[in-house]
Amino acid sequence: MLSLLKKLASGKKDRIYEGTTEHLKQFRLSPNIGDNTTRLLDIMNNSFDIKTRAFKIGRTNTRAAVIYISELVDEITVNNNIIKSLILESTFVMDKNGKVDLDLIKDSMLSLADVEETETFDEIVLGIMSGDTFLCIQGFTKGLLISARKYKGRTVGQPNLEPSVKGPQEAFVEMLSVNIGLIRRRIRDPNLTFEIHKLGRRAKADIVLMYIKGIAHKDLIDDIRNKLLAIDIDKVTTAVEVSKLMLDRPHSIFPLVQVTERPDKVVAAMNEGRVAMIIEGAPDAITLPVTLPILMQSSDDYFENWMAATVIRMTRYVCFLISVLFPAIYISTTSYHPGMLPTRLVLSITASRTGVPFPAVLEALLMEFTLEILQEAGIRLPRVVGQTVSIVGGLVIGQAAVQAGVVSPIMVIVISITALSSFAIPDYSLSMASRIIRIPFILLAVTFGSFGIAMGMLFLLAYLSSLRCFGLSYLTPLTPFRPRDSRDSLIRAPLWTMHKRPEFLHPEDTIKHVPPAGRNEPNDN
Amino acid sequence: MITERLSKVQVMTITVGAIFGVDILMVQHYMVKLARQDGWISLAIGGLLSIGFAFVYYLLAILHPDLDLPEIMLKLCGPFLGRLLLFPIALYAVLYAGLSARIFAQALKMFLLDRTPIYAIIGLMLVVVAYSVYKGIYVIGSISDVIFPICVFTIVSMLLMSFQQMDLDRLHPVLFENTDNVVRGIFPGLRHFLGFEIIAYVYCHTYRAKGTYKWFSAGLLIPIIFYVMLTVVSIGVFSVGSLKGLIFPTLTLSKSIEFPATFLERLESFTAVVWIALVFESLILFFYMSVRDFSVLLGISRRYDKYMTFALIAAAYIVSLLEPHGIQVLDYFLTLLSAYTLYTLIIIPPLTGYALLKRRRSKQ
Repeated sequence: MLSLLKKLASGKKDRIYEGTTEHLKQFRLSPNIGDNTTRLLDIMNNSFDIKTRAFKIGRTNTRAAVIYISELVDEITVNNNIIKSLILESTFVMDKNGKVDLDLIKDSMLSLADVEETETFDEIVLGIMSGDTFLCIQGFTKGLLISARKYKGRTVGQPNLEPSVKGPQEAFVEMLSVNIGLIRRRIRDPNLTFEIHKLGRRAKADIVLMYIKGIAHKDLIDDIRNKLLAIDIDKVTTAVEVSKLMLDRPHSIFPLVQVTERPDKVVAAMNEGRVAMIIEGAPDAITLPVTLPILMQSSDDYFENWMAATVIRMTRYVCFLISVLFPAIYISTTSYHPGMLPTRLVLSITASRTGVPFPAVLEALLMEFTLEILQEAGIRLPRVVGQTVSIVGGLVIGQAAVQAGVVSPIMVIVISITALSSFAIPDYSLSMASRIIRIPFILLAVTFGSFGIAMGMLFLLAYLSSLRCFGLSYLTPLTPFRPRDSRDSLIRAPLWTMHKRPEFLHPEDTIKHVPPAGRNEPNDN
Repeated sequence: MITERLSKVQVMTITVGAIFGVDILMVQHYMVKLARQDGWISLAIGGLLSIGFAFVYYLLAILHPDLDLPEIMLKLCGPFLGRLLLFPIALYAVLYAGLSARIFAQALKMFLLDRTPIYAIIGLMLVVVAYSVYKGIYVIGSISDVIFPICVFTIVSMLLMSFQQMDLDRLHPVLFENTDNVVRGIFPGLRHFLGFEIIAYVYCHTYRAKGTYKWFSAGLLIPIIFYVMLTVVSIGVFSVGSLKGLIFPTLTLSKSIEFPATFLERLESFTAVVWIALVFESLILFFYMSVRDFSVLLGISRRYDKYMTFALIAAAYIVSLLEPHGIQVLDYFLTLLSAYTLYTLIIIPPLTGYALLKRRRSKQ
């Protein structure tokens, strides 16, 4: 039988699905369970973790076998709810002639929620690989795929990348079922829809499309679903990888999806009319479509008074600009337009640069490079050592570099403020983008002064305006300016003023909440 | 999923962007040269007349809501005559872009970048312009949206800060033995407001919503107010005599504002960023117009017209560097504006009248 499979496989070398489960579709179960188990073990290369257990049903001579992957199933459930039931209690499920009836076993005996009939090997192999237990019975050309999954994984913890001062402190984990539960628990709406799809020719990863039917626009859902189903890839491990294959501008330096590890953020996004995706094995979800103002929002904005939240949010925008422009402005001002600065400050800068052998631009690039090394080292090393690296890098090297006269103290200040500002950006990918585009701005500043910076900004503006995420302009609602939607963009208006969902998402249900008649909500935030 | 259209607000910001241009740096100088301390009156009257002229374009556009100006011209005049009439308009847009890029580069060299060669300044600016135009009208609309509030804020701030240096006596006497000069200055005043023809290029990309004309009117009024205010303030600060000697009084005005004992003593580098943005916006809009004009002229479909950008950028770059003498470039620029104003005054109103007549006949 194996040779037949090999023969079939070798005869179709041009098939792109060779080596995956697709080619197994043509093979059906044999009435002989010996053949079936042998074939399954052959297909899965006799891997040690695949367990088979053959037994006889009740007091008959009908043989049966279960096949499963020990690390993916709950063996106690398999023993108690499948094997034990079939061996000891199967007399109830015999038909009048004393023969085993598969339908009766399925309907009256297996006390597990998810039991499906199957007959082709592609389904069986995929089921076993996904953590199902396969039951085949002698004499039947159909078997049962029984879900008794139990994955081992970490428990729900706190968000590492998106911490917040107030509000929920839960983060997604690597187990899809747990993540789904985290979302379900927050929205008790029957319209909350989870569409499961298999992705990856080999990996067959479970990817779930999440949205609230009746809020998210149908066209948006269809567009995302169509693009998702059109993906033909070997394997994917994260939803971000998937999104890269779905976007019109995959090379964009700015993030065109929002990656989040916070279930509350996903829930808020879906409640506005956006669509989320989550994949098995990844501790984060993505939300679509996304705009720059959305990426500048943080969960804390909604847990604070609106005035405080507005100030903090505007500070973030300023931080973004500082992160991109501050070294460039410093270089341009000191090199081209020192007349702008007060004389004392110019003298102070000049004095601090005395003895530094490099021009300001080289100093800036050197410090930028050092900063990048420190950040990268801090991420890669274990946390305990990472902190040491920060101290060694930030304090010792910075201080030593100034004392050795390699860089000026003012440049250390400039780069430090720039780095701190980049950390204030809530989205990590956006922060990364700001770090990268900083370099061209430095080069423009040293070549053309403030004119170079202005042209760089205009180029950046044109670039940002040209970005689209599922048809949505990246700068929405700032441009095209939408007064209603801008209440949650540069500023965070009081919640009672944001009683409608963002217009730019074209939600089917536009009303978020009805403000109390007369005046503001009592506990207005 | 979401289909885009230019919003009504964008009609305003685009109109403002197209009218503002390199003129904002020197309009006071030329108006004072013509009508002395009453230059602002000529400018105001010219501006008000420009509103009437602009609405002729608007009428032409609303009569053909799915076509832009070059397409309308071909539709109304036929392929041969239409192309013949369109050619000077297409040529004007490229020449305007090239010359204004050159004038602005000269201004920058004079005030900010004395050691940077002009060809490098123009080159960098045109590369960014090409990229923006290549990305299409919606990107241009977004750029206008962002630039508009920043520019309005900067100009208003600059005007407010200049008030303390103003001497109102320098504006006197008003219309005293100067009426002829004021009248003579009206047409040159009108030509500084060119750019409103952009409405005939963007209307077909705009949401068909009532009230577009209000936003368009606002787009026409804002430059008139700012130009007149700038002229008044400049006369008050510099006096007529000095203003005649200043080629770029707006830049001088921004340089004259000082903040002693603050972090930044002078802000001309930052205000320069705003002037750069304004000229840039005007350039991309004129390039957009020229791209559309030449594409229709050469029969290139809308799908491929963006590639025309590169050819026109090269042409504008050559135009900008052809004349070695800076002052001569300013003369060419003003001559071009006058010629174009005259040409369109002769061509566009009859064309609109013809379009109206045609519409009435088709209704009957």
